[in-house]
Parts: sequence; C-alpha cells; structure tokens
Amino acid sequence: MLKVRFFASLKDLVGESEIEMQLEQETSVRELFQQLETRFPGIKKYESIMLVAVNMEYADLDATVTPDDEVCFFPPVSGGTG
Amino acid sequence: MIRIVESKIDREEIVQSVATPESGAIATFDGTVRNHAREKPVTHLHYEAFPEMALKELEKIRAEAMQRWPLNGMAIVHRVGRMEIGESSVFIAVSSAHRNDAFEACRFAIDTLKTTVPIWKKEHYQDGEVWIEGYGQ
Repeated sequence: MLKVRFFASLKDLVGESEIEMQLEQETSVRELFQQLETRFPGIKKYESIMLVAVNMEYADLDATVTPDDEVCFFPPVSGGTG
Repeated sequence: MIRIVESKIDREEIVQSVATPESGAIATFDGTVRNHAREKPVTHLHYEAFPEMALKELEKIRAEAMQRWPLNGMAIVHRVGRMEIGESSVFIAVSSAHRNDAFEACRFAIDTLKTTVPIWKKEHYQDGEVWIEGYGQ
C-alpha cells in the first residue's frame, strides 16, 4: 500500500496525518497530488510552495511513485528561531 | 550529537559533546522563543517535526559542514512540543582549532536547518494560533 503523510498546516487542512492508497501502477508525484486534490480540494494552494519527500528524501513533482512508497507532503519548513 | 528532544535543552551537555583538546574555539547558536512576532504578542510556541526525516537532514548538515570546514565537532539539538518565552528551541555547538571556522559553520548550520529540516513552528497568541511557513528550498 502507498502511504501518504501530511504535516503541519497541510495535516490540519486534510484532517488526517496519514492515509493509505492502492496504486495500480507507477505514477508521478504530480499525478498523485492531483488525485488527492479531488479528495481534499483545499490543498491545491500548496502545489507551488509545498515540499515533497518520497521515502524520506526530498523529491520534485516529476518524481516516480511506486505502490509501496511513502510520500510526504509538507509546507515550507520553519524550524529554528532567531 | 544530533537529536530531536521533547524536554528542555541541556546547553552544557551539548557544548561538552563537541569539546576536544585540539579545539581553541566553540561557537554556539541558541534559538530562543521570542515574545512577539508580526507586531503581536506571542504567548508560547509549538514545534512539530517529522522526526525520522529531520534527523536525516540534520546529519546531512553536519556531514556537509565537517567537509567544508576543518571542524572537530558539531552538535545540533532541536526541541519539539510546547515552549515558553525565553526557552531554547534549537541549540548548535561547533568546535574547531580557530574561531573563524566555528563561527562560519555554526551560521551555515542554522541557516540550512531553516530551509531543509522538516520542523514547523506554530505561534500562539492571546486570540488564536498560526502555523509559520518558511520559504522553501
């Protein structure tokens, strides 16, 4: 199963921190995000600013997603202070 | 020492972890919770992390810094959860033979952390709360 995780404001928007999806075949991060948009329309505004990680490595929208991957979507990071 | 912690940051322990007899300098950065932001009083902060990936990204920062500067040690500790005004949310310590390398590497570490490490800050005010989002990579 494909695992999709959301963090920070994206998690609040989606209302869940993690969902599982059945992928029939390889896809791209972009196509996966478009599928998620139909389910969670509010996330569209994050498309141009969000960060994506596939299996805990940063990836871009053209990256390949396979059926057992973990894909994480998150807003730009804001750790640290000062 | 690369850690994500939930309890108060122990600055002395972090400084000691990079101390070596060869070091003539230890530079530190202490990120503390400020009582205001965007012209509003802040009551407290909440930090959320994606811990497994945050640790990996922190390790990458240390590895790159150790390669770029002649350092003896680098430690980065970020706290998550609720923090009060004045408390440390992040602490970095860098040791080197001479101060310039330690200062430069310390600055590199905090600046890079703010764009690559998956940790997010939520500011709490008297009348609400807002996720603070950075500017990405």
